[in-house]
Amino acid sequence: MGSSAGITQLLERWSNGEENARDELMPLVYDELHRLAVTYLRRERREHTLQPTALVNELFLKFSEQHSMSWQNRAQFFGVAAQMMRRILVDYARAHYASKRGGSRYCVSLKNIAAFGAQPDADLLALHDVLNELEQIDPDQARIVELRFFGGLTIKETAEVMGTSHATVEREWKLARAFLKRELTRTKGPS
Amino acid sequence: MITHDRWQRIKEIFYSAQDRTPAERSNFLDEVCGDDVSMREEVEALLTADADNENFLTSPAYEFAAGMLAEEASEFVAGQTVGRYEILCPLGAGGMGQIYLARDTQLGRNIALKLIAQEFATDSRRVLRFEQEARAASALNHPNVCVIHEIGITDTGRHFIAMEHIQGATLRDHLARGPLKLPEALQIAIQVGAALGSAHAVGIVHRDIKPENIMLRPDGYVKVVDFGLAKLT
Repeated sequence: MGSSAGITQLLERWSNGEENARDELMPLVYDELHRLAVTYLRRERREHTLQPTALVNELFLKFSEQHSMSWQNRAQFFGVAAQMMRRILVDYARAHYASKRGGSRYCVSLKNIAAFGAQPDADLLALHDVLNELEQIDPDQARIVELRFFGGLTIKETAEVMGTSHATVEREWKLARAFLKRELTRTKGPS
Repeated sequence: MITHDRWQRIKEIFYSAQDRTPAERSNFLDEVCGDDVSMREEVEALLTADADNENFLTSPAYEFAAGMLAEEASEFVAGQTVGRYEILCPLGAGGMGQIYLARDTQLGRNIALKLIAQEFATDSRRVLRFEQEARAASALNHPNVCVIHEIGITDTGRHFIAMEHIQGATLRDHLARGPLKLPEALQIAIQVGAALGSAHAVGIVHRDIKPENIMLRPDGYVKVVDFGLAKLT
């Protein structure tokens, strides 16, 4: 499979310091992940079962079965994949929201809720906005949210990718969620 | 926007406060925040948000995208006709297929049209279960059970169920907006109980009662839907 060979090579070039390899990598991972995400969601919807395995893990396994990947590649790969996953889902939510309500403006349904529910598209878009705010003041925390929530990685995997301790990720993840929750429930009325 | 330095300070105080018992926190915050009222408010707001945050963002994002995808995957488009029904728009999807809002062109009323998924259309076991859903619900003549109008099969061999279109939200959507007040919860429970009681009386067990399958109409009527897993005893 051509694209996976391409991805391995690009990861190698990237870890050797070629920054433009990253730009070439993005669309490849995007396509592959998008395909996988659609299959995944269909299956999940039909069978009413939520798969605990992270999509990015599955994607990684698929590639690493055919090509050996060094540890550093693996960490980089998860970073890129989580970022791509965020882009896919946010693009998706935006398109979905616009088609359903005939416009690109959205108001947020999140009020005192523990999890997403009634309006997944609007909620995802709102979360994307406040995550951008968090990125401005604490890029590391924003990255943890990207890896955990969009990438579906565990605390342990996130710590490995970030090159930091389990305890640190756990602590920062907790505060990041409190920040996002507070921003979502206090400032965002219909705009 | 909070500055980088101020955020670092907020973080330190937040983490230190978390190491203390809730009773100790107030004194601790007085001590470290001093006259900086907005710092104190900031940290307190974060601690409050954290206290009620156990499940927030703990399921991966793509789980929430499943519902959006189901709507997009609708195969029938507005204007298309299925028998005497004209498709208006998709309403959602269940385990067995898609549900559309449709217009009964003979009776001039809106109905909900459930079509078995393409991949199950030739699976006799699934078809049987699909039709059993309609039979189970239509065996009941009860104000709290969704009314079945007709079952049928399209020219292309797809089985469908035409049923009452219930306006309103599911109990799941309603719960997402906040906890129920006691009288409201009782009103819902009584009507669901009545529906299930009437089903049990004729030997039907629903087997899939959950907030997604309980519809709340604006006029206060509660309707139990989706007898897709019901057992006829």
